[in-house]
Formats: sequence, structure tokens, C-alpha cells
Amino acid sequence: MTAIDAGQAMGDAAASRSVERQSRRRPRWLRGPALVGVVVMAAWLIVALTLPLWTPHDPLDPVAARLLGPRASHWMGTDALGRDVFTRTLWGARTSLPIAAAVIASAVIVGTIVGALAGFFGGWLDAVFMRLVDITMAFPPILLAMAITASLGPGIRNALIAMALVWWPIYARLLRAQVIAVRQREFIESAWAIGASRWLILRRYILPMSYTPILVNATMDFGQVVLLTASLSFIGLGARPPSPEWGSMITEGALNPYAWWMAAAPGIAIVTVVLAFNFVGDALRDSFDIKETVR
Amino acid sequence: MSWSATDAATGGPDPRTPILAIDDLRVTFASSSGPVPAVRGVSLDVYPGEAVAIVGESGSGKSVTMLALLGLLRNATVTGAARYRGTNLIGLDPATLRTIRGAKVAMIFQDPMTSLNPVLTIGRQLSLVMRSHQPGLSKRDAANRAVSLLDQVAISQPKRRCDSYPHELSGGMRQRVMIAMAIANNPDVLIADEPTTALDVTVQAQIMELLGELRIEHNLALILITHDLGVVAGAADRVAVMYAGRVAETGPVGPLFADPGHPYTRGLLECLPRLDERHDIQVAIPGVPATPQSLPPGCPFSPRCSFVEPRCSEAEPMLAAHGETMAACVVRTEVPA
Repeated sequence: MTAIDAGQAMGDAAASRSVERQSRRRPRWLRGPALVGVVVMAAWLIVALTLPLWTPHDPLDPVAARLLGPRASHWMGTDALGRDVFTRTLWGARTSLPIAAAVIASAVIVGTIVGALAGFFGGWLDAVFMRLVDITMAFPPILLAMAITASLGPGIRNALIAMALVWWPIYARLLRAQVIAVRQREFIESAWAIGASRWLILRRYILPMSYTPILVNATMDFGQVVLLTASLSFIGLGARPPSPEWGSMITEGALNPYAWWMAAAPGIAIVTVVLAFNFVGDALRDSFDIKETVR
Repeated sequence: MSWSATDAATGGPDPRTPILAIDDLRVTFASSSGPVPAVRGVSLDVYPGEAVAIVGESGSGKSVTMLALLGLLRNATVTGAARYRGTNLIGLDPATLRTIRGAKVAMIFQDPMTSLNPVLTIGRQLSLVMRSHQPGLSKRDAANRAVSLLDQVAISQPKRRCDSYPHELSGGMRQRVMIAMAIANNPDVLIADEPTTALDVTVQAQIMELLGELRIEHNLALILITHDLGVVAGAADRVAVMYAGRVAETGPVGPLFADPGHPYTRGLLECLPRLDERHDIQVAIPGVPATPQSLPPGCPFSPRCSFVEPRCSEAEPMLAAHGETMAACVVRTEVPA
């Protein structure tokens, strides 16, 4: 850059250079625990997707003597039926992760629709929706999920439905608060003045500005849903044996207290997943908060 | 400034039919301490291609009047009429009003820093504005027109700027983008609510010049809401001075500045610092502005007025001729000009 066309050209070049640098570098929040979290999440995802191609043993068939302790051939030992615990734990991810994703997705979708409509239109619609939210949130989530699953009949599909029913009000309330806050902003008023339709304003102006806390919460909640799925299975309302699921594996482990590895393996799996999502969620929240305060 | 009062007479297909006729507009807000009459009977005709300035202190009702006629006020009772080409905008159903608002009567706001959607690029926002009024417009055409609009409002490298987000632009540039959005659908009336208040003085002049050029180019009727009399003198053909929710005085800008009828207008003009006189202390109008909650009986300006007479508190004065202007003052208008 020569000194002659300093002014604008320089400014533009500097701007584009800094944009380039930012996009090439790794995002600022992705460090420390968050980086660990992302790596763990990615590892579990790869396991869940590719496991059938390289599974060490069959998760359902007895492959060795019963209740063998951890050893080179069976890293986490075998269970009461002689199945490989390590294999079953890996397979558990293929149950827990899709379920958690489905629960979060449906809760976010329902919560978004309800929260956006309630916050945007207000009035009786808001009152009806929010009382519904209040009623749902008045129950402890695990109790309500248990009650719903029990009444629908135990099973992984009903557990999923129950958890989605328990979880959507959180997102509805979150989004409603955001929508109400964003609705007051001046660029919304100027959008009205320019004659934008309600639908356009809600979809293009309000929702994109309201989504940050939903994103953070959904990340954090993913771990919680994994935990809740395991809890429901633990008390026999989720996955039924013999399917490899972390909660029901812990139940089996609890029946064989001297075979500590039977409960420890799925327990460790749950801990890693929950922690990973919490780390990432935390970092995302911090990163978004900083942006807000700078502005 | 490159434009003057004479432009108005030549512009427009039929300059004698007002394009926007505000008639006895009243706005009342409900509050916990009873109704608050923010606008109390404002009448104002705006002709095609002319620039009208509405001047007044904060709370005089100048912005509220304009927001009311566009249906942008919530929790307010609006009565009276505001006819755009004969269609009364007050009480018009929201769907029809939306086709006029933004397309025929556009408004730009005071603070360009907060008036743009931070998550959409400039080009996307301009396209959305156009396509929401012209559903037939293709995305490609809208994008091309966005570039030419940015060019019209004198933004350099308009093609590149279309991909910029609002935070990448300066205040002046953002106000130019706001103006581009406002003229995107070729409106007849452009309401500018203190368009330069949030900007640097040098940028202010550029924006005013741009508005003036666009007014002539597109034969826009420009309604300029401001408290800056300097802006008024340079940019407006006619002025309406508002006080306490009513028009205190209205008239062509020259006579109104030369021989103001209403004592309030006089007071405002005396407050202006002048280059040819030395002021050690800046003159101010004594007292505080009347608020809608506590209006004095009769003329709302009477407690602060140096011409006050006992009859001022008898009834609220109506607009009456004072020279070439119309003033709402019983004392000053009976004096032969």
C-alpha cells in the first residue's frame, strides 16, 4: 500500500485484513476447558456414528466368562451375562446422544414457537402460554418426566416424549423474555416505520437477536438430558434390557456391587458427556456476554 | 444549502393540493395518573415537494404527531385526521396502513447507530425493505437496486458496502443507509425525525445536503422534525413551531425568522447565538416548558411569556394572522403587522 491513496483504501485494506485474520484463527471461546469439551463431544460423536464398523465385540452377546474384572482383552471387564462392558458403554452413546438431540431439538422448536408468539403478540396469548409454562415448571422435571413416562408406558420412545414435554417451557420462557427485550429496540421501531410486516420483523429482526441464550442453554441442557435419560432408564422407565444404555447398565452394576466396573464404565461415560457440554456451554455464554457488554 | 423556498412552487404535479393533510390531530396517552394529552389538535398541510420543519422543545409533541399518523404508537388514543392523498391514515386498518407506511410515507429516525438490524447486511436489509412492499421484485433486481440506492446516497463502493454489517459503518454512513431504505420504495413524503442530532456537525451538513438533493430529485415532501433552528433556516420552506402539543406559530421560513408573531418563537430565536453580537451570557426563555400533565389555563406559554396579559389565561388562543405567519397568540396577532 503506497502512501498516496492513504485514506479510504488503507482503511479498507486494514479492515479486510483483520477480518481475514479473525476467520482464520480459531474462535476466541475455543480454549481451555471448552477445547477439551469440544474434543470429547467430537470423540463421542465419531464413536456413535462409526461404532458398527469397528465394534470390539457384539454388545448383546456373551463373549467371555461372567463378571471378569478389567483386563487387556476386556478393558472394562464383563457383566453378569459375560458381555463386554467397554463395548456396551460405547454402544450406549448410540442411544443417549440421539435421544438427547431429539429431546433438545423438539423442546427448542416448541419453546421457540410458544415463546416467540407469546413475547411478540402479548395479551391473552401470552397469558395462556405462560400459565401453561408455569404449570409445567412447577413440577420437578424428573418427577414429571417419570410420571409421564409411567403413564405412557416404559420405553425409550415414551421417555423421549416425556422429556421433551418437560423441557420446552424453559426455552419458551427464555425466548419470550428475549423477544420482549429485543422488541423494544430502536431498529425494530424503524423496521415498523419502513412498513415491514409482522412476520418479517419477527423472523428477520427479532428471532436472530434473541437466539443467543437458547443456543447456550441448549448446549448446557444436552448434558442434562443425557443424565435424565440415564436416570429414567436407571429406574426402569427408559431403555429396557438387554439394550446397552448407560442408565440401565448402572442398574445392572448396582445389582452386582462387587463388580464395580459394571457401573463405573457407563458412569464415566455420562460424566464425560455432561462435563463436555457444560464446558462448551459455559464458554459460549461467556463469549456472548462479553460481546454484549462491549456493545 | 443549495435549495430554497422557491423550489417548492415549481415542484410537484399539483402543488396546491396537499399530499399530506393533518387535521386536528390529537394524541392522548393513558397513564397511571390519568390521561396525558401529548398532542392537542395539530393541523398542518404538506404540499408535494416542499420541506416543512416542525420545531419545538422535547415533549412538545412533534415526534408523537408523526408517529401517530403512521400508526406507530402503542397505548395511545389518536383522533382527528391525517390524509395522505385523501386517504385518512388515522384508524386505517393495519394491513392497508402498512402498504402506505414505508412505501409512500417513509420515516427516518434520530439515532442511526441503533436503527439498523445488526444481524443483517446492508444489502439484505435494503432488499427486504423493497421486497416487503413489492412482492414481485426478484432478489437479483432488489440487490441491484440496493447498490444503486447506496450510490444515490453517496456511499462509496456501494457494491462492497452491501455486504457490510451495520457495525462496520460510521454514524454518518448508517444515516445514509437509513435514508436509502426510506427512499427505496419511492415515497412521496419523507419524515425525518431529528436526522442529524446524533451526528457530528460536519456530517450533519452533509446529511442535510443529501436530503435536500433527494427532495428535489424525487420531488419528496420532506417533514423535518428538529429542535435545531439552524437546520430549519437552511433546509425548510415552511416552519411549524410547536409548544405543549399545539402549533404555536406557522409560516414561511423567511418571515417567521424575520418577524416572529408568537412570543415563544421570538424567545427561541433570541436564544440563538449570533456571530455579529457579543454574548457573555446566553439568553434563555425563563421558566420550564409546560408539560401535558400540568397545563396552565388559557395559553400554555403564558407563565413564561413577557407579553402576558390577564386575558391570556381566559382561553387557549387560536391561530390568527400575524404578518405572513399564523400565530396562536391573542396579544401579538391583534397588533397590525
